[in-house]
Amino acid sequence: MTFQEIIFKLKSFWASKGCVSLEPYDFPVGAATFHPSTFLRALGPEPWKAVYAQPCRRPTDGRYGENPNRLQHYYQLQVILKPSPDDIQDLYIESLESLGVVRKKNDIKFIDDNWESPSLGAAGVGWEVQLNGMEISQFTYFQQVGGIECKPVAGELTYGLERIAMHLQSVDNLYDIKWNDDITYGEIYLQNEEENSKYNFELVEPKILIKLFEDVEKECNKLLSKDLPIPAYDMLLQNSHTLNLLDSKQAISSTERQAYILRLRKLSFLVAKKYLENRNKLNFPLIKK
Amino acid sequence: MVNKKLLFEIGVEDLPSKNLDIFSEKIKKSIEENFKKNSISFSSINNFYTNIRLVFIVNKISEEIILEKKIIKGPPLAKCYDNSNNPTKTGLGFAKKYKTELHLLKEEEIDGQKYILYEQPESRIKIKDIIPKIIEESINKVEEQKKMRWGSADISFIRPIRWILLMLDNKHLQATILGVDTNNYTYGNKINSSEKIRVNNYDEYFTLLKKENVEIDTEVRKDIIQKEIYNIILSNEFEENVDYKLVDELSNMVEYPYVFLGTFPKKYLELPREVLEYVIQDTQKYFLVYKKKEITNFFIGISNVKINKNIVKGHERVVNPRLDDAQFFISKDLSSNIFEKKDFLKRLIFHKNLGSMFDKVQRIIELSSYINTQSYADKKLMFKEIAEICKLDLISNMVVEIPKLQGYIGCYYAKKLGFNNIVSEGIREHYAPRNAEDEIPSSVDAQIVSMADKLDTVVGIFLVNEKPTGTRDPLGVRRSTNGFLRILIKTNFSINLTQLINTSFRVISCKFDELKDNKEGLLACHSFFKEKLISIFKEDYGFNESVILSVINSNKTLNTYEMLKKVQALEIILENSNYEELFGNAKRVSNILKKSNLTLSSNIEENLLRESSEKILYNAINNITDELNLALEKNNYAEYLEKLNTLNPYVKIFFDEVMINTNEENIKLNRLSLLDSINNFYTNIANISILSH
Repeated sequence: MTFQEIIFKLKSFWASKGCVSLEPYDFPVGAATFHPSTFLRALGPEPWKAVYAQPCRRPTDGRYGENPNRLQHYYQLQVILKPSPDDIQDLYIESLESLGVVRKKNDIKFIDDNWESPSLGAAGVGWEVQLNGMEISQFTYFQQVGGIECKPVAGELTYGLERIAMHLQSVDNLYDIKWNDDITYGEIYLQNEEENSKYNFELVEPKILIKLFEDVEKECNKLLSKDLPIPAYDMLLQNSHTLNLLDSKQAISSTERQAYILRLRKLSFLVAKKYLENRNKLNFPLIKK
Repeated sequence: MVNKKLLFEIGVEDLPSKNLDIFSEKIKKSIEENFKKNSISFSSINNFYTNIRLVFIVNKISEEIILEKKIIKGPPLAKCYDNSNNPTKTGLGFAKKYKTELHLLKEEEIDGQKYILYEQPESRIKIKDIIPKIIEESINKVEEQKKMRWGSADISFIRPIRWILLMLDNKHLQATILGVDTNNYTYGNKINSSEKIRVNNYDEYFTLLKKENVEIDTEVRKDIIQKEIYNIILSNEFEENVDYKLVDELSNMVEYPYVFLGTFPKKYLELPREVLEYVIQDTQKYFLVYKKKEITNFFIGISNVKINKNIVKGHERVVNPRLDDAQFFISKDLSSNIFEKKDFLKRLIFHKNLGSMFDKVQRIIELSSYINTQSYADKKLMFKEIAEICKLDLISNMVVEIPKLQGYIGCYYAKKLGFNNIVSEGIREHYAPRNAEDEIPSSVDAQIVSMADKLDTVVGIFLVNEKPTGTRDPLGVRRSTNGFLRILIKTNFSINLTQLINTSFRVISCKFDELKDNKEGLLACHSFFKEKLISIFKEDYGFNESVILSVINSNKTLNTYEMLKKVQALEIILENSNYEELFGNAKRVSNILKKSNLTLSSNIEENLLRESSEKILYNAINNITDELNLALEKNNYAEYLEKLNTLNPYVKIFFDEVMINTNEENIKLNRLSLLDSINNFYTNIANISILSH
C-alpha cells in the first residue's frame, strides 16, 4: 500500500464513521494537535468529529536526511472524536484493519503514555500504540486544554504515517517509502530534509528570532484584546515554531526555554478562554436540536 | 442461610502496567471492608487481572443480611407535640424517617423525661439489592494513581470502563455500576476480536476465557514468561543471568504472554553498554541476553498474540533505528572534544539560586581540594582533573537525549579521547553510589569528587531553604546525603564533618551573598547529616541506638571515622561482663557531679587530698593519663576502654572510704574536681554513663 493510499484509506474510513474530512492547517505546527480543529474544537460543549493529515515540523529531529527514521518534517494523520465514543478502541483497531493489518497476526499493544503539552496548557491520559514494538499512534483522552477542563472529553488518535508505511511496505529506510507506484518519499523530501537541517541546526539567527518572538507575542495580545482568539491562536502557533527553531540552534538555555514555554502557555490560556466566550455568544451552534 | 458466589469483572481500556497488582489489591481490600461494614458475610475474595480486566470473585457470600430487632430512641415527647397537642415537625420527621405514624410510636420515661421510641423489627435484606451499590462505593473509595474522564459521562476511573460482568449465584445481576449497565457477557483478547462472549455460569467464565487464550492469573502469566525465557536460554547457550525485573511489568501488558527471540545487527554491540541497556531494556522492554558476561545481539520480547515471523521481524526493525540514532549522537559528540567546552556549562542551570553547572564545578574543585588536604594530602591524585570535566557530558547530544546516561557517556567519551583510566572512570563514578544498592566509587580520586559534588548539592539546597519534605526531593538530597556518608564512612577518611559542612557553606555563600546569613538553613543541614548518620549506623551497621546516641551526643563535632570506631569499641565491651563495673562507676560519678551542680576547677590540689584512698585514685589516674591520651590519638578506643577499666578498684576504694561532703568547702571542691577529671575520661569517647549492660 502506497503512502498516499494509506492517507486515502484512513481518511475514508473515518469519514465513513461521521468525521468531517479536513485539510492540513497552513501554519507550521509541531504536531497535529496544534491544528485549530483539535486545539480549539476540543474546548466547550460542542460535539466534533474530524479527520485530516497534517505535515508537522520538529526542527531538532532533523538528521540532514542521513538517518533512516528521523525527519524534521513529517506527517501525522489526526482523528478527533468528541465526545469520545464507547467503541473508540475497537474503531481504531478496525481502522488498522482497513490498512490490511490483520489483528490476530500482529502484536498490538497499548502502552500507558500520558500526554502533556506545557505550552498549550493541555494534558491527557492515554497510550502509545505499538504495532510489533513500533510506535505507530498516540491515543489520548483530553482532560484539559488551554487550562480548561474538557467536557465532554475528546478522544484523539494520531497516526504516525511514515512508521505505518514502513511497516506495511516492509522498508527499513523511510526515504524508500513508496509515495505512489512511481515516486518515493525520498525523491520528494530528501532535499527538503538536507536544506532544512542546515537551516535549523546551523543558520538560524537567534537575534532575529528572539525579536520575532517578542513582536508576534505583542500581536497576539493585541488580537486577544480585540476579542479575536482565532488569529491570536495563529500568532501562538508561529511563536511555538520560533521557539522550536531557537531550540534546534541550541540558542537558549533550559531555563530560558522554560520561561518561553510559560509565555506561550499564558497565551494559550487566554486564547482558550476567549474562544469559549465567543462560541458561547454564538450559543454553541454545533449543539444541534 | 444459602451461600453463593459473586463474579464481578470490570472491562477497561488498557490499564497502566506498573503497580497493577497494588491497585487490584486495594479494590479487593476496599470491597472486603465495605462488605464487613454492611454485615455481609463471605469466606474470601479472589482477585485477578490482565491489561484490560479487573476480576473479583467473592466466595460463600450470604444471600441475605439479617438486621436484628432494635429500639431507636427518638426526640423528647414534649418536642413532638405542641401546646395544642398537635404533632410538631420534629415528631413527624422522626416517624417519617422510619416509615411509621407518630401516634403508633411508644413512649418511655428515661432519666425523668419522656421520649418517643421506635421498635425496629428484625429485617432481612437480599444482598442482590445492595451489592451493586456497595461495590460502587468500594471502588470509589480507592485512591488511584490517577483518575480520568471519558466521553460525556461524569464518571472517572483509572481508565475508561467498557463493560461490566456481574453474576451472583450463576445469574446475571442487573444493575448500574459507575454509570455502566452490568451484563452477562465478557470479551476475549480485544486485539483478537471484539465479539461478545456470553457467560451462563461461573465455571463457564473460566473455560471460555481459557479458550480465548486469556490467562487472568498474573502469577501464571509470570511463570509462563520465566519458563519460556529459560527454555530460550538453554537452547541458545546464553547465560542464565537474565534481569527478571521486567517480568512483572510485561506480564501486565498482555492477556497471555507469547515469548520470542529477536536479534539486531552486531555492529551496535560497539555502543556503550548503558546505551544498549537503555534502548533495549528500558525503552523497548526486551530482555537482554548475555554470553561471557557480555551483551549479545539477541533479545527476548513478549507479544500479546501468537508469534509469527512478521511479529519478530517487526520488533527487530524497531531496535535498529533507535540504536542508529544513538550512534548518530555519539559520532556527532565525538566529532569535537566536549571536554574543552567548559564554558558551555554556563548555560546549564544547576539551581536558580545556586548558579550554573559551571559555578557548581568550580565549587566541586574547591571542595575536593579541601577534602584532599584533610584526608590524603596527596599531590599526585587526579581528583582535580575529574572535577573539572565530570559534568561536561551534560552538554553532549547523547545525554541531552537520554539524561539517565550522565556519567556513563562522559566516561565512554573520555576513554575514546584518550584520557587516563582513573579520570575516565572517575566521570562515571563521581555519581556513585547512584542508589542504595550501588557501590561507592573505586578510586580515591572519584571518592573525593563524589563527596564534594554531593555535599555541595545538599548544603546548597538547605541554604536556599528547599530541604526535602515528604516525597518532594527534586534534586535527590536524601540520596546524595546517604551516598556522601557511605563514602565517608567506608573510606575511613578521618574528616571533621562539621568543618566540612561549614567549608561547603563558605564556598557557596562567598559567591551568593544573600545566603551568607542563613544560619538556620545551615543549622538544619547539620542536623540533617547527623540524623542520616544515625540511621546509617543503625540500619546499615545494625548498631545499638543508645550506643550511637551516646557517641554522637558527646561529641561537639562529627567525625564519622572516629565515631564508627568508638561505636564499634563500645558495642564489644557492652557484651563483656568485665566492664560492668565501669558503666556503674561512670553512672555514679556522673550523678554525683550533676547533683553538686558546682563549677569545678580542672586543677586538683595535691596537698588537699587528705585520705590515702583519694591519693591512690589521684595517682592511678595520673599514671594512665598519657596512655589514655595516646590511645585516643591512635583512635584505639578498645585499648582506651581497657585502660579506663583498670581504674575500677581505685574508684571503689574511693567511694568506700571517702565522704565527699565535708564542712570544709575547699576539700569538698577538690574531691569533686577529682571525680570530674575521671568523668572527663569516661565521657571522652562517649557519654558512657547513659549506657548499661
